[in-house]
Amino acid sequence: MTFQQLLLALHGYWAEQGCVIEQPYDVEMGAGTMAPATFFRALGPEPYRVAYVQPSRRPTDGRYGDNPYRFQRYFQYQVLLKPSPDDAQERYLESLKAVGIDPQVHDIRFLEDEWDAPTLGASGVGWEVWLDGMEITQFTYFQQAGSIECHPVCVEITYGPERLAMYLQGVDHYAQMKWNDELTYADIRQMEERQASTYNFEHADVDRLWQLFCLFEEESRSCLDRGLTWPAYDLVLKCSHTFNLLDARGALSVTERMGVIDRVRRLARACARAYVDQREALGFPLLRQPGAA
Amino acid sequence: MSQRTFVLEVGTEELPTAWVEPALDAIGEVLCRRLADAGLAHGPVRTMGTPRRLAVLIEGLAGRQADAMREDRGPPRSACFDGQGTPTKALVGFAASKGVPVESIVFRADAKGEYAYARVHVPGRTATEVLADILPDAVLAPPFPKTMRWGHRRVRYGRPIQWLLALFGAEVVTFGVEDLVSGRVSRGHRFLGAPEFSIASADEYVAALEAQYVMVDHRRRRAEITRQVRELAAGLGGTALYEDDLVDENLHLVEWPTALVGSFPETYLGIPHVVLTTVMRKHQRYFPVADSSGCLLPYFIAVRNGGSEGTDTVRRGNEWVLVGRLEDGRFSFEQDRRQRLADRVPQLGRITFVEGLGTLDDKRRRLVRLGEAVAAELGLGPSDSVALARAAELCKADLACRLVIEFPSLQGIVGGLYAEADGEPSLVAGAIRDHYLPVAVGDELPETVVGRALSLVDKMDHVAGCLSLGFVPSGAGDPQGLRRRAQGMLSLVIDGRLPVDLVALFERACVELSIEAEGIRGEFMELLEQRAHAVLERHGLPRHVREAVLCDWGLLHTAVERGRVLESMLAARDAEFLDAARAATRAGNIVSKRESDRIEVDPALFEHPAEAPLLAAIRDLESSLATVSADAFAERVRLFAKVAPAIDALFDGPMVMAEEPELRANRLAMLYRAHRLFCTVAEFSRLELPEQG
Repeated sequence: MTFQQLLLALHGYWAEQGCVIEQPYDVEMGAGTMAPATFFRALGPEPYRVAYVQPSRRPTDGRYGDNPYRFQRYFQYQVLLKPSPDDAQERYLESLKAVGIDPQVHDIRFLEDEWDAPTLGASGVGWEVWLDGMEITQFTYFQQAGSIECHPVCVEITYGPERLAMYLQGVDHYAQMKWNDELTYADIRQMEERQASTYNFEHADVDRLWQLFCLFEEESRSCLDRGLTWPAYDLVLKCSHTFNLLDARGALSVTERMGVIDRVRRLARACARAYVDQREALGFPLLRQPGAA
Repeated sequence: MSQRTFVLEVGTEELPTAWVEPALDAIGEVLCRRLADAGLAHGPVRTMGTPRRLAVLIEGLAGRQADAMREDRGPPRSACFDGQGTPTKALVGFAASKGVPVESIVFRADAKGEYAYARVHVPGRTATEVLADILPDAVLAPPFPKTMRWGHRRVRYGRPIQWLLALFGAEVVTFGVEDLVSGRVSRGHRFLGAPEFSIASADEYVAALEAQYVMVDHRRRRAEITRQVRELAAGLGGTALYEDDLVDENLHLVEWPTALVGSFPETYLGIPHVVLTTVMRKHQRYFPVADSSGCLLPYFIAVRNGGSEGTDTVRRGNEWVLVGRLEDGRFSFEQDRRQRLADRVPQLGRITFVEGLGTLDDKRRRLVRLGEAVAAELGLGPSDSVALARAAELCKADLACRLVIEFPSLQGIVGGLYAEADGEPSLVAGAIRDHYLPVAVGDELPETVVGRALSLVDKMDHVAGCLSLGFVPSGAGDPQGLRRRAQGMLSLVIDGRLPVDLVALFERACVELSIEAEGIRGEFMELLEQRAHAVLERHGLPRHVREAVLCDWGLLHTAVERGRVLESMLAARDAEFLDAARAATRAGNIVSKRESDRIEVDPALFEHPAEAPLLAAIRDLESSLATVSADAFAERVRLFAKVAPAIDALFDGPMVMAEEPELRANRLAMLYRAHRLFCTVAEFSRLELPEQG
């Protein structure tokens, strides 16, 4: 199964489960959880089901394309089911069958995991899912997002498609992993990884990044003041990514680090609060949907 | 109704492994207690669990409660009969409300007067009815370390509850937890069993699950995993390492265990074995395998949750994952070995220790100096002192190594290995290796006194520094692990009999950290006292004895021995001991009122005949104590007894706390002088002494 077949199979499966198939969000972010399709939709009483691929940027994880499976930009396959259905695990296991993993002939185990994202004021509990000893998925029941208690609770399922594809293809380096029948993952991404790692670690201009951080922060606040929650949140994502770049440049002392995380967290919380208030003012429109709880 | 077997099964999504057995205990405990309260007798109780189910099986549970008679009080006699002695409406109504004839009403008097009583027959409830009341509480009994909600529900549990099964014999005991209702339906193994199946009666529970590939009894599963692992290891001509820990780790990850062997290329045996075993144990929960001489073999044993179908696929997958991790390990190891450990020390200046406490290089400098102080206090010889200084210099250098960045739990161990490979003396390498010990309660202590001293100064620097930043442990919160480290220090001194004064070392550490000891001394002392009790409690000393032996931090290393002496003299009701203890208690209680720590006594101020003899007795005691060993505690107590009459005479005489300030201060100085001598064994006033007489 090629990389793209894997993603298409997951899309097909989760579409059948009633998920909106969203497209990747177009702002840099560290994880699929941060996309509004999860961060916002996890909040408030409205039901939602969504699946999407989210490119995720973690500048410090870059290895100039030299490491067999570590990248500064990679993909997460993200599913959000709200409220969490009683058969969430069974549905997840069915998705593995959809990508050709027969649980009968493999070993699948659920190992406890507690998830905590302080920048987002988010936390949850669930498992790492192991396939034959390899972590392939994080499965999390959100308990809090944006420092707001989640009710109903949603479940977030995050697959690591690169590792899964490498495993299914039986290769141990991304250079051998087939994206489609003609091209490998390396054919498509190696040059980008090399240049991005060089930029992230060596050339990103620290002074300008600081200026950008402050500008994004100010712009985000001004959006919040005008009730423009989504643009405000886009700018929070930009702040967060700029912070990650500063971190990769080794430009942050530990004090600065804590201070910056706190600034981002405060903005993210304000966005979460504003989102819930605005949805409430609209009468939580998705509660009226057929089949809504 | 006759006795039957009862079974409760709480079906859940996969519980964290360490939570299963405590949860079972809690459910079993609540069930038994509530059944006893309800007067329902039963036979043996068995709790059984897997990651997906918590079950309690009770044999021979009585079918119903015995009938009982109950007396209900009614109106006072005065209201029960009219002038003619005819029952009033009140009495007739009371009898009717209790369903008994008026003639059966009896009258009894108590302090409040004479009242009517109805004897009411209370039929016993059936076990099914009683259980329906009890079960919701039993299900919710487990004290999970952390709970969660799911879906729309409000109930909190360790992981989502999926189903409830409760059978009394063949009968369903119907009860509910929020919208979940019990029945006779269970679920089989996720991949091998039926998604749902009915169980006809409680007696068939274990066998029915077994048929669905669920080995529900964890004791049986533990034995089965152990058997399989041993068999496979024997087949490889070796034995599985860390068997007990790993069996426990795997036990609650599987409902149907099948162990399998995997291998890895022999070239990886060139990586330090501790790295191999750490990856196998901690990251993958595999059993490493060693031959009869203890040498690692290029194999591992994994335990899968399933049968033998697809074993080759599962083996290949596990091998693939392991080799990936080992490759990371080998790469890091080879990178690390390009530099000597000592050459990494300058890199410590780039790593923050704890924000506000400088870099690891600053910490290194502090450790070297604190080490010198401790070496002097311990009277270490030149070779130990040199080794301690070198170990302090190098002990943090492995934190700049890739292998430790990748496997943080190997800090210290990797440093020790690299130091040895660099040709550092084994005393130095061993101290580096051991200097985080003891990490948890009950851990081994560092092997040598050099390792112990290094561990002590490392922990002290951490604790004092973090307290100064305001990281004071409170409740469940102790983000910097200060309690654990304080307990480690106390264990080093008490269990390791290390004669170091922790309070003095704390002051010294504050100086090295350039922080004010003043503001945090209170917190430090509280932490120290609390943890000292914890360490001494492990030696079985009761609270009052622990308080008594914590009289002088400089003598902490002999606390256990002193405690034992006190306990045995107390138990023997040793007369001399009791005399000494009572006199010392009188002195100890009153010197708490002293205004200074003065011990010089001015005989010119004596005005009572008891004073001069007491001073003489104290002087005698001082000179005789000088002739006995500091560790001869029983002998010391006997010498204390000789001062007891003189102390008693003083207390039986004038007021010790004389009006006249000079007189008072003089007497207190004398008693304080005695008190300090007593405190070379204990603070006797803390002891619970038998009543006099």
